[in-house]
Amino acid sequence: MKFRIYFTLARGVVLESVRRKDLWVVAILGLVVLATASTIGFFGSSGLEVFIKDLSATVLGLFATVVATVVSCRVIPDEVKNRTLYPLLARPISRLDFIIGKWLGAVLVTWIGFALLLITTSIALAGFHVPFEWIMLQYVFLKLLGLALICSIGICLSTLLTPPAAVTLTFISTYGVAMVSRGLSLGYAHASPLGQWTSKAISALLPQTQLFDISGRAVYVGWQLVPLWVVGALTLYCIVYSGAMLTMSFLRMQKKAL
Amino acid sequence: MVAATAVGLAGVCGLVAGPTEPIVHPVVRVAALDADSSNASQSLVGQMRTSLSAWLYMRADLYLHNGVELRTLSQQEIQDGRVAVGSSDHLEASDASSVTVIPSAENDYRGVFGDIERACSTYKPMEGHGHQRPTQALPLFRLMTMADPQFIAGWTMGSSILAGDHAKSSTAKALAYLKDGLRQNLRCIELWSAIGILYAANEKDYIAARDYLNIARGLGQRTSHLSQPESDALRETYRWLALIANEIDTPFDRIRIAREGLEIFPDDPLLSRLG
Repeated sequence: MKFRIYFTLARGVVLESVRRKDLWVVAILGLVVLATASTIGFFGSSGLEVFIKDLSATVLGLFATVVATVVSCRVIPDEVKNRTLYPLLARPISRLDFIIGKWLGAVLVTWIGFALLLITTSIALAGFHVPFEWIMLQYVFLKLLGLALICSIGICLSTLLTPPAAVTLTFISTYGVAMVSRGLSLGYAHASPLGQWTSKAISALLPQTQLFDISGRAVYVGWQLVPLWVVGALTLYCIVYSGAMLTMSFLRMQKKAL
Repeated sequence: MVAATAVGLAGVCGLVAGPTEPIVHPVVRVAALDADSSNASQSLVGQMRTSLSAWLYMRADLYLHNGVELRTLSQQEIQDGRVAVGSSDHLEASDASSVTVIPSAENDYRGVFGDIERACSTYKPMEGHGHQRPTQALPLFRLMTMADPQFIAGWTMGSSILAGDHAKSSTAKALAYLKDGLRQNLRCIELWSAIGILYAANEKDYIAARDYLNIARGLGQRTSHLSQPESDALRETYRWLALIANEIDTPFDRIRIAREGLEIFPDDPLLSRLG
């Protein structure tokens, strides 16, 4: 029964995204990518395989993150703004169901957008005779998990902040964590015991989204597949962290006067 | 792919635009960024080209290390006695003071997160590491100098990589590449010096080498404020001129050149020995 609710809510998000032409933009962007990729043929692709893979992974990751952030930070505020939330909650749909359904919808839209970009990028890579490697499948799987995690962060922040602020903070939490982590690593050895404890706490609390991006291994030459225990640990982390984010969203929604 | 297109377009712009003459001549050139025009849009495009070439230079470095990111040791770490990774082939001098950006297990406080990052990213212990075949990064050097012909490090490092290839024609290719750069940077001490050194070290053509090195020396003398790369190039110029004088001129010439160099670089051990 619950799955039917989730499916209906998620389907609504996808249809709304199609209506707002989000996915069309992604599809057109993909076609532009495909069309313009041929310009690199001007230089000849011999010796540039790593460079082409590197650029593809960078662009793919960036666009997919943009889609995940924008879609997830918008779904709930839009329902409140358009007053479509009230008829929804008047039905036998709890606030938790509503959040889970919206999250699933945002994840679905992001994954569809990612798939569209992936297809066009794969065609472009095939055009440059870049061979397929198994680690690319691991890259896609972990990227999908990472995007789901970003969606949960976006949903959570959108219940606390205005949509623009939520988008900004989601971006910062996606791309800034690695930088913060490096900074803390540099200062850790000379920090006071309290400082060291704080560093550990910050590290544990911040979303480790950068761990889901194994594009480096997929791009450069001769790297082995990621060990299965790592894939399992990241899957578990995604479930636990996304669950925590959605729980926080639910608690916030519970307190929110609609 | 969009970025690839941007790189492509910037390269084409670089080719089509041809050489531009700076309208101002700052005494100190900051990281190869020259003000080519007072026009805001041209200045912006110029900055984009400079940023693009600098980014490509960083990528080339990453390719040489097969994706493993390195960083320079901090002063604090040096004082603490932390050991740099070093390299086995000495392709890059900077490796002597570098460590991996992702810390090793013993230097990482993050526990399982650190273990996961080391297992899923491009990390490996880099002590005494080697480098990927540098020729793989060559197209990037060509791209970066197309995007910004005034990016001197792109010309000098690219030529070093070309010359380091053991093919017969490698020196000729490196010289052609440097002369291409020289056509667009006629007042560049580094390029005149690099060409002269290549002639001397690889071709043993001391006469041609002396001509190029003397132009670099003249440029150095006429420049009141030298940037660090220019200063390094001038120091090398004096060293090689003194060595060449030792080969084909009189000892008096060698001493004269070395002493002239010592006036600018009084702490240079090689010039002290030759002078």
